[in-house]
Amino acid sequence: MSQNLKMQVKDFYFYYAGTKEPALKNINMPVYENQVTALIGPSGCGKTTLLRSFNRMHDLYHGNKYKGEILLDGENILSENTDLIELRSKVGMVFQKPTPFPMSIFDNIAYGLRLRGIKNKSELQDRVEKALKQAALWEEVKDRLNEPASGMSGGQQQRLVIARALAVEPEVLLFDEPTSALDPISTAKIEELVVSLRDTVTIIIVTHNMQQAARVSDYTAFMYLGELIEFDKTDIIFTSPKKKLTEDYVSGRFG
Amino acid sequence: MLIKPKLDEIRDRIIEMADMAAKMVENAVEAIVQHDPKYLSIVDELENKVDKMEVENESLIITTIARYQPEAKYLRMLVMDLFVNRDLERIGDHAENIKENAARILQKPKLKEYVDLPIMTEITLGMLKDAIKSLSELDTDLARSVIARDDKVDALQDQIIRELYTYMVEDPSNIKVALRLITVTNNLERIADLSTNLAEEVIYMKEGKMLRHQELDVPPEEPAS
Repeated sequence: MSQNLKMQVKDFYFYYAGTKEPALKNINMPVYENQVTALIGPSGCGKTTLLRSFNRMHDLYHGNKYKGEILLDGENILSENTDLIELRSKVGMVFQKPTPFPMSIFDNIAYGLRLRGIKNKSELQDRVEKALKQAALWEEVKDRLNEPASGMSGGQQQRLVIARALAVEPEVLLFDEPTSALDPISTAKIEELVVSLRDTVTIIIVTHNMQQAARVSDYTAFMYLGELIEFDKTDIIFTSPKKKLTEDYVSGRFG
Repeated sequence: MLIKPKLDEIRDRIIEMADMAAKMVENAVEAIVQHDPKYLSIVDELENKVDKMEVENESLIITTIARYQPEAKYLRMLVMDLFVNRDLERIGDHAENIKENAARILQKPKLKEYVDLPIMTEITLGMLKDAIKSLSELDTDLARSVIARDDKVDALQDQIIRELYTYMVEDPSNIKVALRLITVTNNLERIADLSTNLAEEVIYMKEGKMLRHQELDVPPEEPAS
């Protein structure tokens, strides 16, 4: 298997506003195209901080600081000229708790498309349908597209949010603990979805559930206290990691 | 289930390996019965493939257990797949042993027309092939019939050895070939035992029952053929 680099983190540091000590220290790692990369590690290790750097979510709060480079197709997204709207449409995000907008199922998906100037009704319909199919939700909602999204179950809402992210055809999709608010069956559906979406987008997923990382990812990055301890194929991280710290963590001997 | 495609991949690879092991046994004995070395080269060729596959399968199974943390039937399957994988590699080793003895036996004139050896081989190969079939179809009735056939192989081996004694007593120059033939029957007997193990592993996979070192729980019906 030879893989193309989609993103690359180089000598990366991150400082939260008003702190001297970096939350992330000297991170270097590749993100391969059309693969699932999982970020794992104990609470506070910086995995979510790193995930949110991939589409510069930290810019929403004043005073946060990046150092180093994060490349997307070779371009440094941390550069001052980066158009953040453009970046976030290329690098989409799905959060821990489902965040449907207070509108119909259809409008939730169409929202981003309309923002991008797509007004043609049949094109909107086609793309909403395609996105819902990709998110394995179409069959469940095709007869009630005009009903409010708030009436869906938690698992359905999370797939709706994934469909909404997919509708604008991102190149990378970031998942921040996408199943921590879901029951086991909905979790299994989301996990299968993540694995199947790999063919369409590059995926980076943060999860505190190690088994989930093992099940869905191709590559795993283990982080600890703001540093990247080990990055390797998931097959290796979960059978014969090279660092003792990684082995202790995946064996559950920690804390 | 994310684990399902992995299980299928492992099963396919194991069946492929099993077919190769069976082919090794078949050709190694055929060389002796036909007194023809042309059957021998394929045994070496397959031996290398089987050895390579054993290592790859083992790593695939361990990785699958680590990544998907299977429970109940999936756990039984994967752990048994590990055993099956090893048993098949050993069957390949026994076939290789038969092949080495065959090469020496072929250097001498044929001792006799073989009667019981082909029968012993046929039953052993039948056990092996049915064990493989029971694995691919998870057919525990077939697996039980494999276990029941093991005694016949043991009896045939005794008979062959007794007959070979008479040849050795008659003419000591027969001893070299006769001893090699006895080694061949030992290998066949071990292959039958390992086929029995495979069948027991299939039963554990499907039913969760451990039958090792016990009498069969359900007397099997005689196979139709």
